[in-house]
Amino acid sequence: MPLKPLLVVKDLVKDYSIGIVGRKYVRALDKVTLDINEKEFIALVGESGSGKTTLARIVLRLTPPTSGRVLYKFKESDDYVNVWSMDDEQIRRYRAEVQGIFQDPYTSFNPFYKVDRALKVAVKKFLGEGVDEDKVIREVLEAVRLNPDEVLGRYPHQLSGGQLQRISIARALIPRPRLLIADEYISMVDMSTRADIINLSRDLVDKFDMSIVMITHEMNMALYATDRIIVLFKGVVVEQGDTREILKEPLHPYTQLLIEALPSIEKRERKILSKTIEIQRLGLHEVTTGCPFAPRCPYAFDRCKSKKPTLTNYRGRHMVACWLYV
Amino acid sequence: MKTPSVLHKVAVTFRGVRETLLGELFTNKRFVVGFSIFLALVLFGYVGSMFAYPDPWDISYYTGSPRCTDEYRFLPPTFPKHLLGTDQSCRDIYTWLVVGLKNSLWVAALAAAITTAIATSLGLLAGYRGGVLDDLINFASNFFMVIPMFIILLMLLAYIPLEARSSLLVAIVIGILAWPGPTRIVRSMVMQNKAADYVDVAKLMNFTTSEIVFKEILPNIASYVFLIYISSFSGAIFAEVGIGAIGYGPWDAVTLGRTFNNMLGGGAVFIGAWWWFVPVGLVVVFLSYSLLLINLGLQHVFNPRLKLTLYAV
Amino acid sequence: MDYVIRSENLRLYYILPRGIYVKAVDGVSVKIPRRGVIGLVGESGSGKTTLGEGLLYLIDPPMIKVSGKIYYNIQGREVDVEKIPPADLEKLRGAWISYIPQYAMDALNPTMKIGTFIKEAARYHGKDPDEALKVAVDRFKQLGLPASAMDRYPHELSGGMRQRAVVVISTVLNPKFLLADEPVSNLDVVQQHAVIDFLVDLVESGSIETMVIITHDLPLILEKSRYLLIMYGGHVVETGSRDEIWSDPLHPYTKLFLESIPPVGVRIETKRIKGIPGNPPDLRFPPPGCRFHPRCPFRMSVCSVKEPPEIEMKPGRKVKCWLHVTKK
Repeated sequence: MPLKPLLVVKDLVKDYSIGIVGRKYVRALDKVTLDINEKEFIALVGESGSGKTTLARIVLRLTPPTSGRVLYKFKESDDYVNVWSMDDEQIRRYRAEVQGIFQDPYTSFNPFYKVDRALKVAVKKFLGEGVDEDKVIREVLEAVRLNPDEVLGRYPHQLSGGQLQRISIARALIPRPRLLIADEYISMVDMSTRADIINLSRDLVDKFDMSIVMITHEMNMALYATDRIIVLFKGVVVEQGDTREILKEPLHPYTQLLIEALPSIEKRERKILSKTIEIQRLGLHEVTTGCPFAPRCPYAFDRCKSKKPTLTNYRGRHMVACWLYV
Repeated sequence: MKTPSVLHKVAVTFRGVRETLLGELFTNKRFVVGFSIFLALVLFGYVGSMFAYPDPWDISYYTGSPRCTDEYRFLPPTFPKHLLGTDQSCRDIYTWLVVGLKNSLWVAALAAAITTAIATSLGLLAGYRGGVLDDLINFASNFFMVIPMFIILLMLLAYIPLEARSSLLVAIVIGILAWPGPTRIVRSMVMQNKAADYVDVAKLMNFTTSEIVFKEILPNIASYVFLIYISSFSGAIFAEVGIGAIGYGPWDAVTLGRTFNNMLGGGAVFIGAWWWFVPVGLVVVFLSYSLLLINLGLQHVFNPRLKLTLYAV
Repeated sequence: MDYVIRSENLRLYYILPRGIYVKAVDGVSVKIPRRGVIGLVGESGSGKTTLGEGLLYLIDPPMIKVSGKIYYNIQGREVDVEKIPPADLEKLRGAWISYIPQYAMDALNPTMKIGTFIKEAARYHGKDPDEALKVAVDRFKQLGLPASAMDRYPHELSGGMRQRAVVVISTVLNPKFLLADEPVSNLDVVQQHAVIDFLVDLVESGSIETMVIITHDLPLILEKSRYLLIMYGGHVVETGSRDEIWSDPLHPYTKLFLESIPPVGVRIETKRIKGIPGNPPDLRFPPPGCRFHPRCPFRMSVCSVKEPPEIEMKPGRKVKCWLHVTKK
């Protein structure tokens, strides 16, 4: 896409100090750099410990980074503003353009109030007083394919996880955001209903002129519906590229592992998976230098253990951080 | 990652706090029994006072003169003049009992209100703000919690000159001294709420800090604030009766502690005036018992759900 | 069909305050076949955990058994569980049956080191503690846990490590029957395969005779099991061998569930994968007739009125659906 990206993350680092004295720390994000373009459905794939939620929270302006920048281009603007240096007015505009949804549908709603309230608050805060509240709420619920009469007037505990997540999406859509960060928004929804939420997300991107970053640990939904995949491992982007490219030719051993691990009835050869399990059996020795995946990697050689590979171009937009490809 | 089925159960438990709390409380046997006894005592205090002599100190209503003579001293119960007889200074015991009960109740009510107000504000501040303020409040509450409130109470009250020791002052002192325990509870509840996703959602909705505190967090802790009030009330009653019984209670009014103290000092047990010490003793015992049952009922309803340790006296 | 545990019209309800019942298991008659890995699959509101507990006769308030029977097939004889004296049932449980409940990783005794706990458990069941510890260390290694974990307290291990430890501990005495409720849901992909394959190996090598895995992850269990029971809304709606269910799902729920998982390589532009519309039933107020009918694209008028019967297409292959009544 020739257009400038919507959001740019540059050399983002986040350290969490552990222990009372704070001398030791855990690096959740290690110089992460990536772009998000307009009208893109991106999957940020990673497992727990990859830093994906931390990244989401930093972009959503909920948790401050240790270093690095998050640059955002406002709607009618051509310049980038650092999200973490914004003034109050800019922050308010940012929230209207960049929204978020969280993993647990039941704790995303205050149990004290009916779900209507979350939607009404969004209308009041983003659309002001002079708007027909009921109409907006109905429209947005219909946009997420919910029957308003089935969900309005209910308390969160009276609705299913799937319904609540859709209402969360509806709530996030009210200010007409350009970017929606969805952190594991289907992992606590029944498996048999996840596809519909993914289909909905695809349609929202195509029809509402917005981008969605779906943070997930499940490769199969990412491969099914997204335009681009970014794979995160222990705070490092190990591979990114068009989904079709990654499907055709997954480069990084970790990406290959994630795809291999997807269940299938036909007897599939799981070369990397079995090798990785073997390695784990022999005991992992975590190293602090070199590639974070090296201790688990069946193809690791000396350089992998001493030097960290950088994210480099492989072909077109397909990038990988691995010494195998240098 | 939790599976959806468990969440369903959690959500059902988390049900509209407003909705189930009172319902559950009133189906808990201990709470209901305790509350009934307590209610009966409150009625006894207030309604009973309507039938008492207007001034517990003025004996001229029935003796004709302010001087106490042996004729009216240590009288056994007679109907209708002296339902429980008179004491060593010719004062009507029944009046002392019901008025004392009534006054103790409102001193406790005021003290509990003060404790609850302090606990809620400090707890919210410490829990939501965090940082240095939280460390300070947390440290202070841990520090003061260990010191027995009763001793401090006595020490403070001993320093105050007799004339200044009003029931209002006693209520305030008791109220303030009880702050550490409840503050910690409010703080931990606030911190739990603060960590919930809906607080993050509120931030995404451009909520200001005070909006988050008052509209998101406060409603969820409101029921617990109510609990804290009840708990503090219980503690305050015990404190008042305790200090009153040894003579350090309010000087300007008759409270239950005072009545108890007078009973002990007047030699009720010594002379075998059972109509005097039995009713007073029973009222104190029933009051303690009912408050204990209420506290147990509250703990039973709240403990398993949210691992809240109520501070009970 | 040779079976290990069988239930007859089992009804297990939870009693909530104010007289409301959660009908978690509402008339279930199943036979758990002997030998191999069996999957008990269901999503939220299916009752699968309750059925698991019921089959092991771990019925405690607020769960009650409203009606029905549970039989164990021990050494060729069928015994009604309720008729077994408690002392014998305890012995049976230790020697033959092992159970990994859903939150087992959080239920480890925090005051005991892992190794101590294993030795104690072995001693309690009359087995050699040192032998048990050796087996445990060996199996720990297979799952990437170091032998030093034996000297640790539960809280010193990470969540993933605790989960793997708990799985191993439940297998140490080589029980004849193992029931595991969501044993791998909170593990990363590599460990999910490692743990399930570890359990499958134990079954294939004969150390464990029959293993039932309760899960919501149909694709994963399809890959690893040989026989499945599918639950929905408190009923078992379909049973059959893994291959039968995969190639010819009979119940609409099974069919739609399978169709809702995008196969690797299928793109949304070419083929839209559809999920099951609607929501799982509220087990306090289940819908009349067939529990699935509000969401079923094949529903007929009888489905909303009468509960469908269980049709046994052939031994071990059952479906609870009106569509198949005539087909037989």
